[in-house]
Amino acid sequence: MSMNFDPIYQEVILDHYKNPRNCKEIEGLSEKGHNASCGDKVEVITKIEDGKIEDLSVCTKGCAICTASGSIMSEKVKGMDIEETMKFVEKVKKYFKGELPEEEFDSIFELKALSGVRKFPVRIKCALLPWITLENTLKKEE
Amino acid sequence: MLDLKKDFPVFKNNPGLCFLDSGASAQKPSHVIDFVSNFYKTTYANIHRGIYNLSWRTTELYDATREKVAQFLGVSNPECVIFTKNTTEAVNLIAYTYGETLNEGDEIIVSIMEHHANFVPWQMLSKRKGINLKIAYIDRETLELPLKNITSLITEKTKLIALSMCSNVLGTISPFKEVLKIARDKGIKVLLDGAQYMPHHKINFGKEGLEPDFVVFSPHKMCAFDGLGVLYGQREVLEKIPPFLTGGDMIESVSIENTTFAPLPNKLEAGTPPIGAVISLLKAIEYLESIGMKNIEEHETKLAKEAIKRLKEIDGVHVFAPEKISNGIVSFTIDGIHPHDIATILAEDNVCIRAGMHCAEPLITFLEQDSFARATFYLYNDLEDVEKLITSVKRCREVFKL
Repeated sequence: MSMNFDPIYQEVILDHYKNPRNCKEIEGLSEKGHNASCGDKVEVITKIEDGKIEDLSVCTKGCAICTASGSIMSEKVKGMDIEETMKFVEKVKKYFKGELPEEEFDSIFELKALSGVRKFPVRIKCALLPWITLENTLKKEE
Repeated sequence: MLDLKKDFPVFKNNPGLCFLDSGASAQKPSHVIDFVSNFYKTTYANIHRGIYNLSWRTTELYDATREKVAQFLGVSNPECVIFTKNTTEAVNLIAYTYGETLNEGDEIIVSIMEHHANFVPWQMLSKRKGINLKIAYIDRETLELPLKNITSLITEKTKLIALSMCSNVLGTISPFKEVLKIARDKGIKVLLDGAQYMPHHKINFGKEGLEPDFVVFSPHKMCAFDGLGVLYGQREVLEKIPPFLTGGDMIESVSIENTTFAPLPNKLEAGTPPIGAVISLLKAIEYLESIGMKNIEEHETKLAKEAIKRLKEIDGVHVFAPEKISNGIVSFTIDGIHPHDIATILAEDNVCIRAGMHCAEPLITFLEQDSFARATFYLYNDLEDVEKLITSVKRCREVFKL
Protein backbone atom coordinates (compact mmCIF):
# COMPACT_ATOMS: atom_id res chain seq x y z
CA MET A 1 0.00 0.00 0.00
CA SER A 2 1.33 3.38 -0.95
CA MET A 3 2.08 5.92 1.75
CA ASN A 4 0.82 8.55 -0.63
CA PHE A 5 -2.73 9.52 0.31
CA ASP A 6 -2.96 12.65 -1.75
CA PRO A 7 -6.45 12.67 -3.30
CA ILE A 8 -5.20 13.84 -6.68
CA TYR A 9 -1.61 12.79 -7.11
CA GLN A 10 -2.02 9.05 -6.67
CA GLU A 11 0.64 6.55 -7.63
CA VAL A 12 -0.87 5.77 -11.03
CA ILE A 13 -1.15 9.47 -11.93
CA LEU A 14 2.46 10.13 -10.99
CA ASP A 15 3.53 7.07 -12.97
CA HIS A 16 1.78 8.30 -16.12
CA TYR A 17 3.14 11.82 -15.51
CA LYS A 18 6.73 10.71 -15.09
CA ASN A 19 6.55 8.10 -17.87
CA PRO A 20 3.90 9.25 -20.33
CA ARG A 21 2.88 6.47 -22.75
CA ASN A 22 2.57 6.74 -26.49
CA CYS A 23 4.27 10.04 -27.21
CA LYS A 24 5.82 8.97 -30.48
CA GLU A 25 6.21 9.83 -34.12
CA ILE A 26 3.40 8.41 -36.21
CA GLU A 27 1.62 9.32 -39.44
CA GLY A 28 -1.92 10.52 -38.96
CA LEU A 29 -4.27 13.39 -38.26
CA SER A 30 -2.63 15.92 -35.98
CA GLU A 31 -4.62 18.13 -33.65
CA LYS A 32 -3.23 20.55 -31.09
CA GLY A 33 -4.87 21.68 -27.88
CA HIS A 34 -3.93 24.56 -25.57
CA ASN A 35 -5.15 25.85 -22.23
CA ALA A 36 -4.53 29.58 -22.46
CA SER A 37 -4.79 30.20 -18.72
CA CYS A 38 -2.20 27.66 -17.59
CA GLY A 39 -0.14 26.99 -20.70
CA ASP A 40 -0.84 23.26 -20.95
CA LYS A 41 -0.24 22.05 -24.49
CA VAL A 42 -1.07 18.74 -26.11
CA GLU A 43 -0.67 17.24 -29.57
CA VAL A 44 -2.77 14.22 -30.46
CA ILE A 45 -1.96 12.34 -33.68
CA THR A 46 -4.56 9.79 -34.68
CA LYS A 47 -4.06 7.08 -37.27
CA ILE A 48 -7.45 5.88 -38.44
CA GLU A 49 -7.91 2.78 -40.59
CA ASP A 50 -11.23 1.17 -41.48
CA GLY A 51 -13.05 3.46 -39.05
CA LYS A 52 -10.86 2.37 -36.17
CA ILE A 53 -8.16 4.12 -34.17
CA GLU A 54 -5.30 1.99 -35.40
CA ASP A 55 -2.71 3.97 -33.44
CA LEU A 56 -2.36 7.28 -31.69
CA SER A 57 0.33 9.48 -30.26
CA VAL A 58 -0.30 11.87 -27.37
CA CYS A 59 2.44 14.35 -26.47
CA THR A 60 1.80 16.73 -23.60
CA LYS A 61 3.68 19.68 -22.18
CA GLY A 62 2.03 20.66 -18.98
CA CYS A 63 0.95 19.66 -15.51
CA ALA A 64 0.75 16.17 -14.05
CA ILE A 65 -3.01 15.98 -14.45
CA CYS A 66 -3.01 16.93 -18.12
CA THR A 67 -0.04 14.71 -18.92
CA ALA A 68 -1.39 11.69 -17.03
CA SER A 69 -4.86 12.17 -18.51
CA GLY A 70 -3.41 12.21 -22.04
CA SER A 71 -1.22 9.20 -21.37
CA ILE A 72 -4.13 7.20 -19.94
CA MET A 73 -6.32 8.21 -22.88
CA SER A 74 -3.71 6.94 -25.34
CA GLU A 75 -3.88 3.49 -23.77
CA LYS A 76 -7.65 3.33 -23.51
CA VAL A 77 -8.90 4.40 -26.91
CA LYS A 78 -6.42 2.55 -29.11
CA GLY A 79 -8.33 -0.03 -31.14
CA MET A 80 -11.75 1.54 -30.57
CA ASP A 81 -13.87 2.47 -33.57
CA ILE A 82 -14.77 6.12 -34.05
CA GLU A 83 -18.32 5.95 -32.77
CA GLU A 84 -17.26 3.99 -29.71
CA THR A 85 -14.48 6.50 -29.05
CA MET A 86 -16.86 9.47 -29.33
CA LYS A 87 -19.19 7.89 -26.79
CA PHE A 88 -16.32 7.04 -24.48
CA VAL A 89 -14.88 10.58 -24.69
CA GLU A 90 -18.33 11.99 -23.92
CA LYS A 91 -18.60 9.77 -20.86
CA VAL A 92 -15.12 10.68 -19.61
CA LYS A 93 -15.89 14.39 -20.02
CA LYS A 94 -19.07 14.00 -17.99
CA TYR A 95 -17.18 12.01 -15.38
CA PHE A 96 -14.49 14.68 -14.90
CA LYS A 97 -17.17 17.35 -14.68
CA GLY A 98 -18.86 15.40 -11.89
CA GLU A 99 -21.98 14.65 -13.91
CA LEU A 100 -21.60 10.89 -13.40
CA PRO A 101 -21.19 9.04 -10.09
CA GLU A 102 -17.67 8.40 -8.85
CA GLU A 103 -18.21 4.63 -9.17
CA GLU A 104 -18.80 4.96 -12.90
CA PHE A 105 -15.19 4.05 -13.65
CA ASP A 106 -14.65 1.49 -10.90
CA SER A 107 -13.60 -0.86 -13.69
CA ILE A 108 -11.00 1.53 -15.13
CA PHE A 109 -8.81 2.36 -12.17
CA GLU A 110 -6.64 4.88 -14.02
CA LEU A 111 -9.65 7.05 -14.79
CA LYS A 112 -10.97 6.59 -11.28
CA ALA A 113 -7.60 7.85 -10.04
CA LEU A 114 -8.21 11.07 -12.00
CA SER A 115 -11.54 11.62 -10.24
CA GLY A 116 -9.76 13.83 -7.68
CA VAL A 117 -9.99 16.71 -10.15
CA ARG A 118 -13.75 16.75 -9.65
CA LYS A 119 -13.15 18.65 -6.42
CA PHE A 120 -10.89 21.23 -8.08
CA PRO A 121 -13.01 22.95 -10.73
CA VAL A 122 -10.03 24.85 -12.15
CA ARG A 123 -8.15 21.62 -12.72
CA ILE A 124 -10.93 19.83 -14.61
CA LYS A 125 -9.89 21.56 -17.81
CA CYS A 126 -6.37 20.14 -17.42
CA ALA A 127 -7.78 16.61 -17.35
CA LEU A 128 -10.16 17.39 -20.22
CA LEU A 129 -7.66 18.91 -22.64
CA PRO A 130 -6.35 15.70 -24.30
CA TRP A 131 -9.86 14.25 -24.58
CA ILE A 132 -11.29 17.41 -26.15
CA THR A 133 -8.35 17.51 -28.55
CA LEU A 134 -9.00 13.90 -29.62
CA GLU A 135 -12.70 14.69 -29.98
CA ASN A 136 -11.86 17.61 -32.28
CA THR A 137 -9.83 15.26 -34.49
CA LEU A 138 -12.64 12.78 -34.73
CA LYS A 139 -15.23 15.46 -35.48
CA LYS A 140 -13.09 16.54 -38.42
CA GLU A 141 -12.74 12.94 -39.58
CA GLU A 142 -16.52 12.51 -39.47
CA MET B 1 6.44 43.08 12.59
CA LEU B 2 2.89 44.07 11.74
CA ASP B 3 0.09 41.99 13.20
CA LEU B 4 -2.99 42.89 11.18
CA LYS B 5 -4.96 39.71 10.46
CA LYS B 6 -7.46 40.89 13.07
CA ASP B 7 -8.34 43.85 10.84
CA PHE B 8 -9.39 41.55 7.98
CA PRO B 9 -12.58 39.52 8.58
CA VAL B 10 -11.71 36.98 5.89
CA PHE B 11 -9.14 35.45 8.24
CA LYS B 12 -11.66 35.09 11.07
CA ASN B 13 -14.11 33.45 8.67
CA ASN B 14 -11.49 31.07 7.22
CA PRO B 15 -9.44 29.74 10.13
CA GLY B 16 -5.98 28.61 9.02
CA LEU B 17 -6.18 30.52 5.76
CA CYS B 18 -2.72 31.25 4.38
CA PHE B 19 -3.46 33.87 1.73
CA LEU B 20 -0.45 34.52 -0.49
CA ASP B 21 -2.21 35.87 -3.57
CA SER B 22 -2.51 39.57 -2.78
CA GLY B 23 -0.61 40.34 -5.98
CA ALA B 24 -3.76 39.27 -7.81
CA SER B 25 -6.11 41.06 -5.41
CA ALA B 26 -5.83 42.05 -1.76
CA GLN B 27 -8.21 41.21 1.06
CA LYS B 28 -10.36 43.99 2.52
CA PRO B 29 -10.17 45.34 6.08
CA SER B 30 -13.25 46.03 8.25
CA HIS B 31 -12.34 49.71 8.08
CA VAL B 32 -13.23 49.60 4.37
CA ILE B 33 -16.01 46.98 4.35
CA ASP B 34 -17.94 48.49 7.27
CA PHE B 35 -17.76 52.03 5.96
CA VAL B 36 -19.04 51.09 2.52
CA SER B 37 -21.68 48.78 3.99
CA ASN B 38 -22.87 51.63 6.19
CA PHE B 39 -22.73 54.03 3.26
CA TYR B 40 -25.13 51.82 1.29
CA LYS B 41 -27.40 51.57 4.34
CA THR B 42 -27.53 55.28 5.06
CA THR B 43 -26.35 57.49 2.24
CA TYR B 44 -26.32 55.91 -1.21
CA ALA B 45 -27.67 57.70 -4.28
CA ASN B 46 -26.26 58.37 -7.70
CA ILE B 47 -23.66 61.12 -7.83
CA HIS B 48 -23.89 64.55 -9.47
CA ARG B 49 -27.28 65.64 -10.80
CA GLY B 50 -29.31 64.79 -7.69
CA ILE B 51 -30.52 67.95 -5.94
CA TYR B 52 -31.39 66.08 -2.77
CA ASN B 53 -29.28 65.48 0.29
CA LEU B 54 -28.33 61.80 -0.30
CA SER B 55 -27.00 62.55 -3.76
CA TRP B 56 -24.99 65.47 -2.50
CA ARG B 57 -23.48 63.48 0.34
CA THR B 58 -22.59 60.64 -2.06
CA THR B 59 -21.04 63.13 -4.48
CA GLU B 60 -19.02 64.63 -1.63
CA LEU B 61 -17.59 61.23 -0.69
CA TYR B 62 -16.90 60.46 -4.35
CA ASP B 63 -15.04 63.75 -4.81
CA ALA B 64 -13.25 63.34 -1.48
CA THR B 65 -11.80 60.08 -2.85
CA ARG B 66 -10.47 61.90 -5.89
CA GLU B 67 -8.76 64.41 -3.61
CA LYS B 68 -7.42 61.63 -1.42
CA VAL B 69 -5.91 59.88 -4.46
CA ALA B 70 -4.28 63.13 -5.60
CA GLN B 71 -2.81 63.60 -2.14
CA PHE B 72 -1.66 59.94 -2.06
CA LEU B 73 0.15 60.42 -5.38
CA GLY B 74 1.49 63.82 -4.37
CA VAL B 75 -0.14 65.67 -7.27
CA SER B 76 -1.95 68.97 -7.00
CA ASN B 77 -4.80 68.55 -9.47
CA PRO B 78 -7.51 66.12 -8.35
CA GLU B 79 -9.52 66.74 -11.53
CA CYS B 80 -6.77 64.87 -13.38
CA VAL B 81 -7.52 61.72 -11.37
CA ILE B 82 -9.88 59.64 -13.50
CA PHE B 83 -11.80 56.61 -12.27
CA THR B 84 -11.96 53.72 -14.72
CA LYS B 85 -13.15 50.13 -14.55
CA ASN B 86 -9.66 48.75 -13.89
CA THR B 87 -6.00 49.31 -14.76
CA THR B 88 -6.47 47.56 -18.09
CA GLU B 89 -9.20 50.03 -19.06
CA ALA B 90 -7.05 52.94 -17.89
CA VAL B 91 -4.25 51.89 -20.26
CA ASN B 92 -6.73 51.33 -23.07
CA LEU B 93 -8.22 54.78 -22.46
CA ILE B 94 -4.83 56.32 -23.21
CA ALA B 95 -4.05 53.93 -26.09
CA TYR B 96 -7.37 54.70 -27.81
CA THR B 97 -7.21 58.47 -27.31
CA TYR B 98 -3.68 59.83 -26.97
CA GLY B 99 -2.40 56.75 -28.84
CA GLU B 100 -4.51 57.57 -31.87
CA THR B 101 -2.69 60.90 -32.24
CA LEU B 102 0.57 59.06 -32.97
CA ASN B 103 1.69 58.51 -36.55
CA GLU B 104 3.13 55.76 -38.68
CA GLY B 105 6.82 55.37 -37.95
CA ASP B 106 6.57 56.72 -34.40
CA GLU B 107 8.03 54.54 -31.67
CA ILE B 108 6.74 53.26 -28.35
CA ILE B 109 9.01 51.59 -25.80
CA VAL B 110 7.72 48.99 -23.33
CA SER B 111 9.67 46.56 -21.19
CA ILE B 112 9.65 42.78 -21.45
CA MET B 113 8.33 42.60 -17.89
CA GLU B 114 5.03 44.32 -18.64
CA HIS B 115 1.75 42.78 -17.53
CA HIS B 116 -0.41 42.11 -20.60
CA ALA B 117 -2.48 45.14 -19.54
CA ASN B 118 0.43 47.42 -20.41
CA PHE B 119 1.58 45.40 -23.39
CA VAL B 120 -1.33 44.25 -25.54
CA PRO B 121 -2.96 47.73 -25.92
CA TRP B 122 0.35 49.09 -27.27
CA GLN B 123 0.90 46.08 -29.51
CA MET B 124 -2.62 46.56 -30.93
CA LEU B 125 -2.05 50.30 -31.37
CA SER B 126 1.23 49.59 -33.15
CA LYS B 127 -0.54 47.30 -35.60
CA ARG B 128 -3.36 49.82 -36.16
CA LYS B 129 -1.08 52.79 -36.76
CA GLY B 130 2.15 51.31 -38.11
CA ILE B 131 3.99 52.29 -34.94
CA ASN B 132 7.24 50.57 -34.03
CA LEU B 133 6.97 48.81 -30.66
CA LYS B 134 10.38 48.43 -29.05
CA ILE B 135 11.12 46.11 -26.14
CA ALA B 136 13.50 46.92 -23.29
CA TYR B 137 14.83 43.64 -21.94
CA ILE B 138 15.72 42.79 -18.38
CA ASP B 139 19.05 41.20 -17.53
CA ARG B 140 18.44 37.42 -17.54
CA GLU B 141 20.98 36.89 -14.75
CA THR B 142 20.19 39.70 -12.31
CA LEU B 143 16.48 39.99 -13.29
CA GLU B 144 16.95 43.77 -13.08
CA LEU B 145 15.94 46.25 -15.77
CA PRO B 146 19.04 48.39 -16.41
CA LEU B 147 18.28 52.00 -17.33
CA LYS B 148 20.49 51.75 -20.43
CA ASN B 149 18.33 48.94 -21.81
CA ILE B 150 15.55 51.53 -22.04
CA THR B 151 17.53 54.64 -22.95
CA SER B 152 19.46 52.88 -25.72
CA LEU B 153 16.14 52.38 -27.53
CA ILE B 154 15.26 56.07 -27.51
CA THR B 155 15.39 57.82 -30.87
CA GLU B 156 13.93 61.04 -32.24
CA LYS B 157 10.84 59.05 -33.16
CA THR B 158 10.16 57.82 -29.61
CA LYS B 159 6.83 59.24 -28.50
CA LEU B 160 5.91 57.14 -25.48
CA ILE B 161 7.52 54.91 -22.88
CA ALA B 162 4.94 52.64 -21.20
CA LEU B 163 6.65 51.14 -18.20
CA SER B 164 5.72 48.98 -15.26
CA MET B 165 6.98 50.46 -11.99
CA CYS B 166 7.22 46.95 -10.56
CA SER B 167 7.05 43.55 -12.26
CA ASN B 168 4.09 41.47 -11.09
CA VAL B 169 6.16 38.30 -11.58
CA LEU B 170 9.66 39.16 -10.38
CA GLY B 171 9.10 42.11 -8.06
CA THR B 172 11.76 43.95 -10.07
CA ILE B 173 11.44 47.72 -9.66
CA SER B 174 12.06 49.52 -12.93
CA PRO B 175 14.24 52.66 -13.05
CA PHE B 176 11.09 54.68 -13.64
CA LYS B 177 12.30 57.77 -11.80
CA GLU B 178 15.35 58.10 -14.05
CA VAL B 179 13.22 57.33 -17.10
CA LEU B 180 10.81 60.13 -16.16
CA LYS B 181 13.63 62.67 -15.96
CA ILE B 182 15.27 61.60 -19.21
CA ALA B 183 11.95 61.41 -21.08
CA ARG B 184 10.92 64.86 -19.84
CA ASP B 185 14.09 66.40 -21.25
CA LYS B 186 13.43 64.78 -24.60
CA GLY B 187 9.71 65.53 -24.73
CA ILE B 188 8.77 61.83 -24.60
CA LYS B 189 5.59 60.91 -22.76
CA VAL B 190 5.73 58.27 -20.02
CA LEU B 191 2.93 56.03 -18.80
CA LEU B 192 3.67 54.28 -15.52
CA ASP B 193 1.83 51.07 -14.64
CA GLY B 194 1.71 51.20 -10.85
CA ALA B 195 -0.57 48.20 -10.30
CA GLN B 196 2.12 46.34 -8.33
CA TYR B 197 3.87 49.42 -6.96
CA MET B 198 1.20 51.64 -5.44
CA PRO B 199 -0.10 49.09 -2.90
CA HIS B 200 3.36 48.58 -1.42
CA HIS B 201 5.42 51.76 -1.63
CA LYS B 202 5.22 55.41 -0.76
CA ILE B 203 5.69 57.63 -3.77
CA ASN B 204 5.07 61.36 -3.75
CA PHE B 205 5.57 62.46 -7.34
CA GLY B 206 5.31 66.15 -6.51
CA LYS B 207 7.86 66.11 -3.68
CA GLU B 208 10.31 64.10 -5.79
CA GLY B 209 9.96 66.56 -8.66
CA LEU B 210 8.61 63.85 -10.96
CA GLU B 211 5.94 64.56 -13.54
CA PRO B 212 4.67 61.35 -15.09
CA ASP B 213 2.33 61.97 -18.02
CA PHE B 214 0.12 59.05 -17.02
CA VAL B 215 -0.04 56.80 -13.97
CA VAL B 216 -2.42 53.85 -13.73
CA PHE B 217 -3.09 51.52 -10.82
CA SER B 218 -5.51 49.04 -9.25
CA PRO B 219 -7.29 49.97 -6.01
CA HIS B 220 -8.42 46.37 -5.45
CA LYS B 221 -4.77 45.38 -4.96
CA MET B 222 -4.55 47.90 -2.10
CA CYS B 223 -7.52 46.83 0.01
CA ALA B 224 -10.24 48.77 -1.84
CA PHE B 225 -13.09 47.06 -3.67
CA ASP B 226 -12.81 45.58 -7.13
CA GLY B 227 -14.36 47.13 -10.24
CA LEU B 228 -12.24 50.27 -10.12
CA GLY B 229 -9.04 51.45 -11.76
CA VAL B 230 -7.29 54.81 -11.50
CA LEU B 231 -5.76 56.90 -14.23
CA TYR B 232 -3.84 60.04 -13.38
CA GLY B 233 -2.71 62.22 -16.25
CA GLN B 234 -1.17 65.61 -16.94
CA ARG B 235 -3.91 68.16 -17.42
CA GLU B 236 -2.77 69.45 -20.82
CA VAL B 237 -2.90 65.95 -22.33
CA LEU B 238 -6.16 64.94 -20.69
CA GLU B 239 -7.75 68.19 -21.84
CA LYS B 240 -6.53 67.67 -25.38
CA ILE B 241 -7.54 64.03 -25.89
CA PRO B 242 -11.06 63.19 -27.07
CA PRO B 243 -13.34 61.24 -24.72
CA PHE B 244 -12.75 57.46 -24.68
CA LEU B 245 -16.37 56.53 -23.97
CA THR B 246 -19.27 58.86 -24.59
CA GLY B 247 -22.78 59.15 -23.20
CA GLY B 248 -24.08 59.92 -19.74
CA ASP B 249 -22.42 62.27 -17.26
CA MET B 250 -19.58 63.31 -19.57
CA ILE B 251 -21.35 65.98 -21.59
CA GLU B 252 -21.70 69.73 -21.37
CA SER B 253 -24.52 70.06 -23.86
CA VAL B 254 -26.22 67.77 -26.36
CA SER B 255 -28.26 68.77 -29.40
CA ILE B 256 -29.58 66.57 -32.19
CA GLU B 257 -26.57 67.52 -34.30
CA ASN B 258 -23.77 67.88 -31.78
CA THR B 259 -22.35 67.28 -28.33
CA THR B 260 -19.90 69.32 -26.31
CA PHE B 261 -18.06 67.64 -23.49
CA ALA B 262 -17.82 68.36 -19.79
CA PRO B 263 -14.50 69.55 -18.35
CA LEU B 264 -12.18 67.16 -16.51
CA PRO B 265 -12.66 64.78 -14.85
CA ASN B 266 -16.21 64.15 -16.09
CA LYS B 267 -15.21 64.15 -19.75
CA LEU B 268 -13.37 60.88 -19.15
CA GLU B 269 -15.86 59.25 -16.78
CA ALA B 270 -18.86 58.32 -18.91
CA GLY B 271 -21.83 56.70 -17.22
CA THR B 272 -22.52 55.85 -13.60
CA PRO B 273 -19.21 54.87 -12.01
CA PRO B 274 -18.69 52.10 -9.42
CA ILE B 275 -19.58 54.49 -6.58
CA GLY B 276 -19.13 52.05 -3.71
CA ALA B 277 -15.74 50.94 -5.03
CA VAL B 278 -14.59 54.55 -5.37
CA ILE B 279 -15.60 55.34 -1.81
CA SER B 280 -13.91 52.16 -0.62
CA LEU B 281 -10.67 53.57 -2.01
CA LEU B 282 -10.96 56.61 0.25
CA LYS B 283 -11.10 54.33 3.28
CA ALA B 284 -8.45 51.93 1.92
CA ILE B 285 -5.91 54.73 1.49
CA GLU B 286 -6.80 56.00 4.97
CA TYR B 287 -6.21 52.52 6.34
CA LEU B 288 -2.89 51.96 4.53
CA GLU B 289 -1.68 55.41 5.61
CA SER B 290 -2.65 54.67 9.21
CA ILE B 291 -0.34 51.64 9.07
CA GLY B 292 2.27 53.59 7.08
CA MET B 293 3.38 52.71 3.56
CA LYS B 294 7.00 52.50 4.69
CA ASN B 295 6.04 49.98 7.40
CA ILE B 296 4.06 47.93 4.88
CA GLU B 297 7.00 47.86 2.47
CA GLU B 298 9.41 46.81 5.20
CA HIS B 299 7.06 44.18 6.58
CA GLU B 300 6.33 42.39 3.33
CA THR B 301 9.96 42.63 2.21
CA LYS B 302 11.05 40.91 5.44
CA LEU B 303 8.57 38.10 4.84
CA ALA B 304 9.58 37.70 1.20
CA LYS B 305 13.29 37.62 2.09
CA GLU B 306 12.66 34.93 4.69
CA ALA B 307 10.56 32.93 2.19
CA ILE B 308 13.24 33.25 -0.50
CA LYS B 309 15.98 32.15 1.90
CA ARG B 310 13.97 29.12 3.05
CA LEU B 311 12.79 28.16 -0.45
CA LYS B 312 16.37 28.20 -1.75
CA GLU B 313 17.31 25.68 0.95
CA ILE B 314 14.92 23.12 -0.56
CA ASP B 315 16.36 20.80 -3.22
CA GLY B 316 15.07 21.47 -6.72
CA VAL B 317 13.47 24.81 -5.86
CA HIS B 318 14.41 27.83 -7.96
CA VAL B 319 13.47 31.37 -6.95
CA PHE B 320 13.15 34.08 -9.59
CA ALA B 321 13.75 37.36 -7.80
CA PRO B 322 16.38 40.07 -8.08
CA GLU B 323 19.02 40.23 -5.34
CA LYS B 324 17.64 43.50 -3.99
CA ILE B 325 13.93 43.08 -3.38
CA SER B 326 11.63 45.61 -1.73
CA ASN B 327 8.23 43.96 -1.83
CA GLY B 328 6.42 40.71 -1.19
CA ILE B 329 6.56 39.03 -4.61
CA VAL B 330 8.19 35.57 -4.68
CA SER B 331 8.04 33.53 -7.89
CA PHE B 332 9.49 30.04 -7.90
CA THR B 333 9.57 26.68 -9.64
CA ILE B 334 10.24 23.15 -8.40
CA ASP B 335 12.11 20.75 -10.69
CA GLY B 336 9.79 17.97 -11.84
CA ILE B 337 6.55 19.59 -10.67
CA HIS B 338 4.44 21.87 -12.83
CA PRO B 339 3.43 25.12 -11.07
CA HIS B 340 -0.25 24.20 -11.42
CA ASP B 341 0.40 21.01 -9.53
CA ILE B 342 2.31 22.99 -6.90
CA ALA B 343 -0.64 25.36 -6.49
CA THR B 344 -3.04 22.41 -6.24
CA ILE B 345 -1.07 20.69 -3.48
CA LEU B 346 -0.69 24.02 -1.65
CA ALA B 347 -4.45 24.55 -1.98
CA GLU B 348 -5.01 21.23 -0.20
CA ASP B 349 -3.06 22.79 2.69
CA ASN B 350 -5.09 26.02 2.55
CA VAL B 351 -2.10 27.91 1.14
CA CYS B 352 -3.33 30.19 -1.66
CA ILE B 353 -0.81 31.05 -4.35
CA ARG B 354 -1.08 31.70 -8.06
CA ALA B 355 0.43 29.59 -10.83
CA GLY B 356 0.79 30.15 -14.55
CA MET B 357 1.97 32.93 -16.80
CA HIS B 358 0.64 35.72 -14.55
CA CYS B 359 -0.53 37.70 -17.59
CA ALA B 360 3.10 38.23 -18.51
CA GLU B 361 3.68 35.66 -21.23
CA PRO B 362 6.43 37.61 -23.05
CA LEU B 363 8.45 37.71 -19.81
CA ILE B 364 7.91 34.01 -19.01
CA THR B 365 8.95 33.10 -22.56
CA PHE B 366 12.01 35.38 -22.36
CA LEU B 367 13.06 33.60 -19.16
CA GLU B 368 12.64 30.27 -21.01
CA GLN B 369 10.04 29.03 -18.56
CA ASP B 370 6.53 27.66 -19.11
CA SER B 371 5.01 28.91 -15.94
CA PHE B 372 5.77 30.11 -12.39
CA ALA B 373 4.33 29.52 -8.95
CA ARG B 374 3.97 32.92 -7.25
CA ALA B 375 3.47 33.72 -3.60
CA THR B 376 2.83 37.36 -2.73
CA PHE B 377 3.05 38.72 0.81
CA TYR B 378 1.14 41.77 1.97
CA LEU B 379 0.60 43.71 5.17
CA TYR B 380 -1.60 41.05 6.83
CA ASN B 381 0.77 38.14 6.26
CA ASP B 382 3.15 36.98 8.97
CA LEU B 383 6.03 34.60 9.61
CA GLU B 384 3.58 31.78 10.24
CA ASP B 385 2.44 32.17 6.62
CA VAL B 386 6.06 31.77 5.50
CA GLU B 387 6.27 28.63 7.62
CA LYS B 388 3.09 27.22 6.05
CA LEU B 389 4.38 27.97 2.56
CA ILE B 390 7.67 26.20 3.21
CA THR B 391 6.02 23.15 4.81
CA SER B 392 3.63 22.85 1.91
CA VAL B 393 6.35 23.27 -0.74
CA LYS B 394 8.29 20.47 0.96
CA ARG B 395 5.16 18.35 0.86
CA CYS B 396 4.94 18.90 -2.93
CA ARG B 397 8.21 17.05 -3.28
CA GLU B 398 6.98 14.26 -1.01
CA VAL B 399 3.72 13.87 -2.95
CA PHE B 400 5.68 13.70 -6.20
CA LYS B 401 8.19 11.34 -4.60
CA LEU B 402 11.16 13.52 -5.47
